Amino acid sequence: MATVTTRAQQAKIGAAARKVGGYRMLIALDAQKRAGGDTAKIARDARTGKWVVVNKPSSEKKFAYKFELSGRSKTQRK
Amino acid sequence: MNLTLSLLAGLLLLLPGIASVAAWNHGGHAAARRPELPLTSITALFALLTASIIAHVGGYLFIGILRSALVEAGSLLGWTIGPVMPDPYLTAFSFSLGQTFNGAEALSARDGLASLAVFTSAVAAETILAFAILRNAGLDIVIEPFDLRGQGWVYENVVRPLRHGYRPIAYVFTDSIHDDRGVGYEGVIADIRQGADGEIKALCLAEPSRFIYELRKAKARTLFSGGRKEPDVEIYDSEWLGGVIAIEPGRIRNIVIHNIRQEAADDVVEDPAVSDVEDSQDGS
Repeated sequence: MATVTTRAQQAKIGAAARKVGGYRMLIALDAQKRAGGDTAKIARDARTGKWVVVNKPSSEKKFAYKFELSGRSKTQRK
Repeated sequence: MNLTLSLLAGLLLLLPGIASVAAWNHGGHAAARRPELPLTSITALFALLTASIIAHVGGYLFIGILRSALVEAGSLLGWTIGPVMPDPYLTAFSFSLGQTFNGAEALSARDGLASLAVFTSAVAAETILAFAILRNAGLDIVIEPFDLRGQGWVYENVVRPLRHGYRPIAYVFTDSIHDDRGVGYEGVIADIRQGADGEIKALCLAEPSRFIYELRKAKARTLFSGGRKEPDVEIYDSEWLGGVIAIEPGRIRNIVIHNIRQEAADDVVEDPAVSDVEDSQDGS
């Protein structure tokens, strides 16, 4: 029988909704994640326990960003 | 309808088309159900005949190429196993018309039956192939831009996003209202069934929560009170139910659908606790 979602998909979305405190929160986090771009990730703040969207670049991008910053600081020093 | 030999022969010829329509009615891998196409409808008849013709032309070409290739291979390698099998399609036509075609020799009963068996096997193979193609998930990708099943808003807002990695979450407001407070449900859409005109016949939510909503009437602003002026809908905290809930379509007042990306749920289920949230948000 054709169904819209599989049991595994339903279970995963349901588990995620329960973790973050309901479907409304999950929808809000997804909207923030979409606004944050490809590198945005939903994570739990270890200090407060709240779910937030963090914009964590991948290691390569992070390196490139730091490199750019150090270059700029050198120029500024000159 | 009398069950005659000619009717059976006709059904046998139409079997690939019937299998295609049956597979189509089955609804694909992830889809909302619509009523089955009746065999008497023009659309179903057109699809059935087209699929049958395509299957038989393909089968005829395949068998013709196979026979020629085997004969050629036999003559090249110098192998002589026996007489060439008569064309099963030609035999089937000869059998149905009760005559041999020009130039064709009359077959012995044994050869004729063997050839008919090959023809029946070819039709069975075409039928299985047609069913497998119509049930294949790859077909959903090919026809993805087109709402061929006529599902309308359900296709655009549920089925199509689902194929792109989104998961539909529905808020269902029911008409179970008492003192301006009503009962609603939120959850992952597990199944939707539509009627012939696209109306909802059944709706099933998985992992549902139940919530209470309140319709607040407009309140006149007075000189000494800063109360609300506009009417409002308040949704109170929901209560987790779990499992699956089937909502009677007659009780549904409104449905609001949000599609969230599967990645969002994956992120949460992985549960990465971060201690440097502020740093990460800065991108450093």
